[in-house]
Amino acid sequence: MKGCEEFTMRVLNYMELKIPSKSQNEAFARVAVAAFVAQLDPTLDEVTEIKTAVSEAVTNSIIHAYEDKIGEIIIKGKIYENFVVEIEVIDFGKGIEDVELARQPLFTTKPDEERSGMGFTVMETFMDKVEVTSEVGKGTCVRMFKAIKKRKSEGVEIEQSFPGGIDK
Amino acid sequence: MDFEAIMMEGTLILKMKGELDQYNADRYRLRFDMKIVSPEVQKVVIDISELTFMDSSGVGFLVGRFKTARAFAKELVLVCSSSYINRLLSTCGIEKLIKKYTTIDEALS
Repeated sequence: MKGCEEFTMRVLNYMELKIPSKSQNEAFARVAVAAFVAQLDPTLDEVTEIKTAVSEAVTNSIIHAYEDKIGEIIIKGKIYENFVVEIEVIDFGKGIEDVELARQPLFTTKPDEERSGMGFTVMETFMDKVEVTSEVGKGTCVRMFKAIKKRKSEGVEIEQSFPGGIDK
Repeated sequence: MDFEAIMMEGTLILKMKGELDQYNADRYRLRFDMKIVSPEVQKVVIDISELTFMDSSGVGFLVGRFKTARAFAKELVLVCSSSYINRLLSTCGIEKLIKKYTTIDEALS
């Protein structure tokens, strides 16, 4: 599965992580993304919302995309101008047959395993926008956006430190 | 994640601390169920106020423990004073299923 389509806003900073789909890595993934986003000086609520959304997407890749196997998960973070954060969670697992259905609240393919079926609903509630692209047998890309409220502190410096943006 | 179990006159209080995600849900499911089904327990109070993180896998975990208690005809209620976790719980519609209180005292009365 390749990532989602490129976006035309100016990129100020980016990061990329690759992890095996082990559930111990859920905590690492969300904390790493939180640390990346911290340069924008977000509120505690904003950080927690992003961490929760990342945790949902990574858990989906571990539980559903790879099921009993271990595969790779790529997590990409980008900071765009105007403090817009983009997080992509990409896997190369089994893919989702019907994305619209999978996004419905309470929908789960594993009701007997205590799956709440609320993963996508939580991502949609806590982020501003969630896009899902998936191909059966190839994998899934979840791309999420959130605008961080600008506050007067070092967060402003990031925009000045990359005056022309960076090529990515 | 870690938890503390307190027994008080037939009521089992389970205080959870740390992060409740899919990884920890898998690790603690059986341990919680063993305590809940124990014959001296009539009522279960799960206090999640001190969780520093929870996602929908944590919600699934709580619903699972509620179902265990219900299968043994025991009452299970939640205590939560964290605004972030309360928001997650209401997003997932858990309040329709499990009674929720803000303090342990309220849950015990």
